Amino acid sequence: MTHDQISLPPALEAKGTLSVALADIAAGWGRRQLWWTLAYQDLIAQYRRSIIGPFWITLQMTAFTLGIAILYSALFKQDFVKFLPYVALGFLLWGFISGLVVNSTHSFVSQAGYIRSTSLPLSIYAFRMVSSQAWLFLHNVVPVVLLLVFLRVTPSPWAIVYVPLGLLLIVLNGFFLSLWLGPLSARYRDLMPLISSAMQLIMFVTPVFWDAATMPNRAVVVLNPFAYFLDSVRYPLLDRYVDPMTWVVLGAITLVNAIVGLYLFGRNRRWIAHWVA
Amino acid sequence: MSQIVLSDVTVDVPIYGVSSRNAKGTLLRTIRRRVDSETVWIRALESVSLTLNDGDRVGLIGANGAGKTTLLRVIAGILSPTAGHVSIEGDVAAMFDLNLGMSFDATGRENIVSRGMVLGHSRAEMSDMIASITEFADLGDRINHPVRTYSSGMVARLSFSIATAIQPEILLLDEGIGMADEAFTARATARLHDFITRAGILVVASHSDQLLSQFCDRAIVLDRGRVTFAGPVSNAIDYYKSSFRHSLPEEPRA
Repeated sequence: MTHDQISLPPALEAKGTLSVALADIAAGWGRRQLWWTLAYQDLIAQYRRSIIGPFWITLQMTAFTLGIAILYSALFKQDFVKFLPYVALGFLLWGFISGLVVNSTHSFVSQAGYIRSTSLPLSIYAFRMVSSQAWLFLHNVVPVVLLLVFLRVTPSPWAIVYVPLGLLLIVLNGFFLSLWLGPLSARYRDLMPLISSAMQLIMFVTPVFWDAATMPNRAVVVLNPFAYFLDSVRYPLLDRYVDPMTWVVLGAITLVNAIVGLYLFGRNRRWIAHWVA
Repeated sequence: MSQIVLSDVTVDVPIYGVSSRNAKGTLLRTIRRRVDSETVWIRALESVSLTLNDGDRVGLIGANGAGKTTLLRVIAGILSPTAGHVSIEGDVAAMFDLNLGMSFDATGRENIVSRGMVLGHSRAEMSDMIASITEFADLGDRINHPVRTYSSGMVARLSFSIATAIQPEILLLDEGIGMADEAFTARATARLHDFITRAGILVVASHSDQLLSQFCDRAIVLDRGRVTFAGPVSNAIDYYKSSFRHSLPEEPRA
């Protein structure tokens, strides 16, 4: 069946795929009060009636970080004090990155009720997912920052530029990924479990808990895009040298992801309400 | 000034079979050059044309699956037509699911704000409306309690009050509004009448003759995606009933 005459809702009446995507994102940005509130509701809904509320997230993070650091420093016979900040930051950032990737597959399917009964701009579901993950991340940051201060870890002076930049790139990539992977996962339902399983595997081949410098097989690190995201934020905080190549690679990944995201979102936008059904 | 113009609108809805919704199935079919052959297309609307202007109150009549909800979704901008053109002027409020965005663990007060924001209003606007919404919904101090402690009638009152607190130019209702007690139904009816007199466009899909004749002056009868009748609401109801009776298998006479 062919669909020659395509007509878009009036607000989004636009010629090309790209302008459809951009118009929706601009309208979605205009609703930031809404998705920011919904994202915070997502978070506190799980902890209603508990006394410390979402700070359970913080405690879980603390417990896991301590446990893994004790175990690994014993196993690898590394200096506990040196190893702890490395693992804590690795786990914190990996949690954020993999949370964004895995949840980008759910970002539209889980909002089918909204998508099929309101005419809100569809990009708000990508914004909502990213901000939910950002809220989680902010709760997890607390124990890690306290730990770094307590252990008197001195960051590189460049950290003030590199850390916000690295985090911004992580957030941007989460958003663009959600724009294309979210609708596709609604169309092809295998993508959700597939990507969630893949991320578990990727965690082990990414320098989250082990030091990239100790990996004999360089290809595992060099060809792993996730390693660049991790190190762009972690290395400056530990006063380690960040290879300028890191920023080139991250810039390229972001650019490709943005183009794919905007193109596929614009192209698939009119089908999303059907796909999530 | 609000207006809805649909010209020759056709909507085909894809129904994805189990085998076409997983990547393996698509991969296999791609290899066999039979992409998407298992996707079934349902023609939910066929060549629907209509023009609605300020002050129009239109009922949508039809059996289940006739296309009433699809038509409302097209007007709301949720579904894009496969063919034809849609032009909508004025802000549309789609009241398809009154409980959408309601968090049952949050208090009534919190829900007024978040639900209002889902409807397109700002946080500040909704904060100013809390008192009047609480009063209209007759919730008193219970507005500070979590919504999960409310009776279903109270939830219905709250959601209706929020949804109609700020009047849109175009209001779309699906299957009427689940109302609780008679006293509130009277007030809700009064509010809807108030909306109509302020000259917006109202489109209601319903199976209830009473509701249709109370709120609408015109009606459209849909049958398998086509408009089979358009005219005054009482004529439309009669038309629908007679055509419906014809389509029933003849009852054996005793």
